[in-house]
Amino acid sequence: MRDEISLIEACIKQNRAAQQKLYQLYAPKMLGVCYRYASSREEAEDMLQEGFIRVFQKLDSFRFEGSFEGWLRRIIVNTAINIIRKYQNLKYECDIDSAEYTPAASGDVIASMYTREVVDLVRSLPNGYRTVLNLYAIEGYSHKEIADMLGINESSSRSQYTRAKALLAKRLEKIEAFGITEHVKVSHP
Amino acid sequence: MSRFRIHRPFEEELAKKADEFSMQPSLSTWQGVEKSIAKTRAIQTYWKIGILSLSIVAVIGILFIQDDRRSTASKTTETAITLLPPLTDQPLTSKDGKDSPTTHGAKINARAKKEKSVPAITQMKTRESLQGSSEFKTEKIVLKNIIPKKLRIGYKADPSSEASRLSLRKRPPSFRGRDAWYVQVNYGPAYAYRNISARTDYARPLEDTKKQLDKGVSGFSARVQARYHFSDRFSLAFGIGYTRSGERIGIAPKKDSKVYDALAETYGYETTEMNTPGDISYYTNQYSYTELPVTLYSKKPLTPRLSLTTGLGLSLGYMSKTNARCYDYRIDHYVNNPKFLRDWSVSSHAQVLLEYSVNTRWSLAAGPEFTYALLSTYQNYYTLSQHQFSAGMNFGVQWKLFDVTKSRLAE
Repeated sequence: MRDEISLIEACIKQNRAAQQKLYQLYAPKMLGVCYRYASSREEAEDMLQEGFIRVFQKLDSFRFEGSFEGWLRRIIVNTAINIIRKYQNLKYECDIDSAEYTPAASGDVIASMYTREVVDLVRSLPNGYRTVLNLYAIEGYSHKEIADMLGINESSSRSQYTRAKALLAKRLEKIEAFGITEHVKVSHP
Repeated sequence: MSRFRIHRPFEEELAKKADEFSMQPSLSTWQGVEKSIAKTRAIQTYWKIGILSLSIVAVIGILFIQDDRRSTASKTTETAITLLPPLTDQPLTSKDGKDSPTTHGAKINARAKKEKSVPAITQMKTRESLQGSSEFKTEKIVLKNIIPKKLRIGYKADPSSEASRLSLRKRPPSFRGRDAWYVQVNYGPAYAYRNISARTDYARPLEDTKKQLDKGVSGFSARVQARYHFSDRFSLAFGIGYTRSGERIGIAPKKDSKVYDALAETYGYETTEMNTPGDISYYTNQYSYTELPVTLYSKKPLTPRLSLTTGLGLSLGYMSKTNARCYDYRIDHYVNNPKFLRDWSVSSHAQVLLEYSVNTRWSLAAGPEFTYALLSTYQNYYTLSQHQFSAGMNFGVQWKLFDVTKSRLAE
């Protein structure tokens, strides 16, 4: 903890080596975060790059009160959302195969999957669903916060999440029955 | 916002798995981040140097202008008192009883004579009151109208008199013979960097990498010059100088160099920055030149003591000291102080200086300076062309070799 504080302080003083060390410390995990929001690895790296530039620019506003990783992650997520809003047309449409049949999403199947498979499963969702699911289920934002971030209604956020979860549940059901390979297709625009 | 809030097992498991996921970013991502923050740092440095330079110039300018006003006012008072003796035999009043310009001047002169007999403090007070009075202002106009020009210039006046000495001080600058020679010393910190371009297509990747990884460094220049004023406005300075410039280079790990692998197979494997994975290594390249600068100055007086001087010049430099790592394509390796560094350089420089004459012999100067190397740091056969440039401040002192004013007085 003490090391982290002195590392951050060195970064605020524009110490290049410290900045690189901080980047190396958090970049892999933050790229994992960006990857869940992005359509491709290249886009994820763009998000990471943009996010870290912002982090280093705003580092002097970090008050050393809460977790640094939490602060960093918030900036990275906000940057990712900004990029998505700027370059992607978020469509909040229902593309569930069958609207009538919506099985309950099970945590057991997810627990049995590899992390990469889970991430690819999330990434296989349409942009709008994926973004809301990431923000609500993984980052822990409220629907009101999500609505503010994405510029949508709170009810839209709720319905998007419900539909995303239903779509995931449907895919998880198939995965449970037939295996993962055929049902997780990551879209690359 | 509360992270990892548990809704149901689904969200909990999803967040847990997602949180475990990490990926190794590519090197170019960090390079992009670093390039951007370095640019911010450079902009901040430029702003700091710029604001500091402007502040110094502004403070010096304000101080000098104030000082100059004080000294001009003081000189005028003295002139009013001392330049009037030839007029004392004029009648004090005109026929109609009113003061003529001449008699008015004589009255002040009489008043000045009285002042000589009173203590120094009283004299000072009288001078201050004179400066503020309308009488004093009128006197300035009278002097212009009635004092013969040759007396105002003072060459024909009695050299031992105060009037003569003061009028010599008022002599407008006119450089002749020995009077025109000055010795000048300049020093200036600078931000040094380079323009780089590839001469061949196959060197473009190196150019791109260097553009991403190289950074500016601080440098300096120092010069001792003789300066000859061949007119009131123009002067030429020439002498000797020393300049240090350079750049910080980043050497990225490179494991896939086919040329190096081939060399390694032939000559044996060696662990260097070319084949060791890990962080980018940074080195500061320094090129030190002993120079022969020639500068043409143009001076525009702002006040009697203050002038704005612009200088343009060229320097012939010899690379007297080098501490640089450069990429050698022939061996696909970074080497220290390679032979393809050019020994000689020609660079141009431009200065804008605020010059202040402290007295007849000494003057000070300060202002921004920009230099640009006209020749590449590397020989023409090398794959990259690199032109150094620097931007910074220049502080100078100028000393007149022969004080002709004194020798004239002695004559």
